[in-house]
Amino acid sequence: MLAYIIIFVYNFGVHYVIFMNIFEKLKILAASAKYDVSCASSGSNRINAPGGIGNASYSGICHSYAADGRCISLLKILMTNICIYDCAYCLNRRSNDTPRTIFTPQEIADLTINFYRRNYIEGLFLSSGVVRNPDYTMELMIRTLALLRCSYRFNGYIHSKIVPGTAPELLQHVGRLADRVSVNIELPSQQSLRLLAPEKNKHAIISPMQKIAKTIEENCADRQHYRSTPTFAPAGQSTQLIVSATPETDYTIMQLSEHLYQKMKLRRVYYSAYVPVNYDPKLPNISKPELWREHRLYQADWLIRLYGYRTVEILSAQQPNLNRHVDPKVNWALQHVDFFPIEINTADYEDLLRIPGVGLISAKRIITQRRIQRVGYADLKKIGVALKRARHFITINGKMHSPLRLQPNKLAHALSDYGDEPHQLEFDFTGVRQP
Amino acid sequence: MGQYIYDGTFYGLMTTIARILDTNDSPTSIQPVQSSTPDLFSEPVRIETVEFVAEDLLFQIRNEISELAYDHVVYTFLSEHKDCEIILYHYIHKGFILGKKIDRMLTDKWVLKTHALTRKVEREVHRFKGFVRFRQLADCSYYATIEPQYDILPLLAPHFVKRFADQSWIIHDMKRSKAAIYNQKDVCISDISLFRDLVFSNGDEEHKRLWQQYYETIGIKARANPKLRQQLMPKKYQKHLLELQPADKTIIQTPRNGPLPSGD
Repeated sequence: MLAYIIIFVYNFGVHYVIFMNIFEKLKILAASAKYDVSCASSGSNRINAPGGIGNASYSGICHSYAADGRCISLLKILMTNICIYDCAYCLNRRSNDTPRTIFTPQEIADLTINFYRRNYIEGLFLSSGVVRNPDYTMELMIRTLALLRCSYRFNGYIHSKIVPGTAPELLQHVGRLADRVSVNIELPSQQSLRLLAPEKNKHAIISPMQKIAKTIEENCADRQHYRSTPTFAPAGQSTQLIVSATPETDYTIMQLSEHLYQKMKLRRVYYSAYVPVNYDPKLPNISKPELWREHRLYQADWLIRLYGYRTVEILSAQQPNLNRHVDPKVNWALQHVDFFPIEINTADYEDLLRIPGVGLISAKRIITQRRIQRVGYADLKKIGVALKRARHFITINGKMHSPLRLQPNKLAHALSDYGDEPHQLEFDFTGVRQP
Repeated sequence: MGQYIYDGTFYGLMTTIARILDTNDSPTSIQPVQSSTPDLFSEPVRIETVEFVAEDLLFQIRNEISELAYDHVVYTFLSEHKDCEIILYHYIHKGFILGKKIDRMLTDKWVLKTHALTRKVEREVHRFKGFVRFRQLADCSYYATIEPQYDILPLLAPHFVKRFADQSWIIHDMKRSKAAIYNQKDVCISDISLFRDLVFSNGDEEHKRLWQQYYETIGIKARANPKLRQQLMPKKYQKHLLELQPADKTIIQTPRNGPLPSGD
């Protein structure tokens, strides 16, 4: 306890409450952690050891769903909401007058194990405000994770945040203990970071990410030679971007994501629509978060990550923002109608993925079915293809089942997400060359 | 053309299907004895369960059709759908004609029905891996109640054996009066309608309230979406989810058809 009182003396102007019971601490520290949207518990197949408890499921398991519809699979908490930084968008910034508290490593471990034994959670998601300096905070977090893994013999899922600016030696320890690690990039460009979080800098954020990416790659190579090599962050690393807090275009954001996926081999980039929690003249004055934009960004993210698209195909300097009315896949299809129609029975897997209404699973099923017999119109419905969309872009055994004959503007109206509402199309597809 | 009745167990169904395949009959219905409705015109044939016949058929399915087909057969049976028996008969019959290729015939009528039922059972199993909620008893074992739509206890138990290897637990399917019981060595599934005199441990109520506190805090109010939550956590599962119960109410155990235990 004395150690914690000494920490508090360093923080000026912060109201600190030392004697809180576990309920009050959980309320404050869970409320602070909820804006970190990453919730996945997938990607790791850690197995239980004799005498231990828990394992990780590769597909991830959702244990509950919060009032906002988001999945709850981990105990998502901050270790402490004391912070030396003053980022404009953050609830726990230094200049906010908010009750501050800290969990001891023992309390976090007890809470995690007890929730885990009751099957409330898949594991722990541990983040933290910055106490004294990044290395000190990371050491406290490592102590918590080590307590869980070693004393409690916990083999469930752990997602650990990394504080920007952490020393490389500490990264080794975290990676050994956690399944997934993440460093939040927070803002999509250096100018925005300087504006809203001037105490953080790009190098402090990117450098741990690069070090982790390199260590994961080396660890994979080692494990192929020596099977007993301990794992290092088996579920990879992820990051988070706040969107609509600063004026970057979707093109900038998606280029950044593509770079992170290709060069740093990140597993996921999360996009969090800016939710106003503080008043600050540097922040935009909005009443509701821009959820539709977040939704479109996730759709574009899926195309890049799983469907083989490149950012330059979806967006450009001339059209730097995603279409509000139609999703990015339909948008690409309408801008490239000369690519269609595609014959279902002869097209490649990559070409099938480009058809709106055909997803990864439907495309695989079409290929599977094709090896035995030809696919017909009725079959497509059974396979799970969204025919309302797909029929405009395909031929089945040479026949086309759409009256719209690949006319882009008419298709845009038919496939708009806003249905019958009168609206102006954001992009005019008139100039697109037809087949 | 015939109607068949079996005893309602998996081996019973397999024996029935084996017999029908041997006699080259085309059945109109196969029903468990509990829910059979007598027909005016024909007398249904009652098939006795013979274990080695059933096991023979299962062995043949695994070898001559595929392992995946065997999984489909088990999952479809556990779906307890009213037509699952006749669907399985046609599926297995087709499987012996086509062999491995049946896994690729995704648009055949019987394969489609089988796969659809399998998918429903698989989805429920996956959801319940998250929705089972244990409470700690005074002797440090854990107890959970569920009311699933399909009979998924045999599929849930292995997951929890691996995960909670060092604690004793019971998962009680209240709809079917069955329970999976694990004592840190092995697991068994037995017919139990009610556990009497359950004493919860001292810390259990506190952890339940901590979980409810966590659940209420973690949602972002500006993004509230009750429709989405309802879609992902349907009402049929909400009864046993502790976070959605009022804070002062504990789960009351009720046997399927009977009075509340006294003293609650």
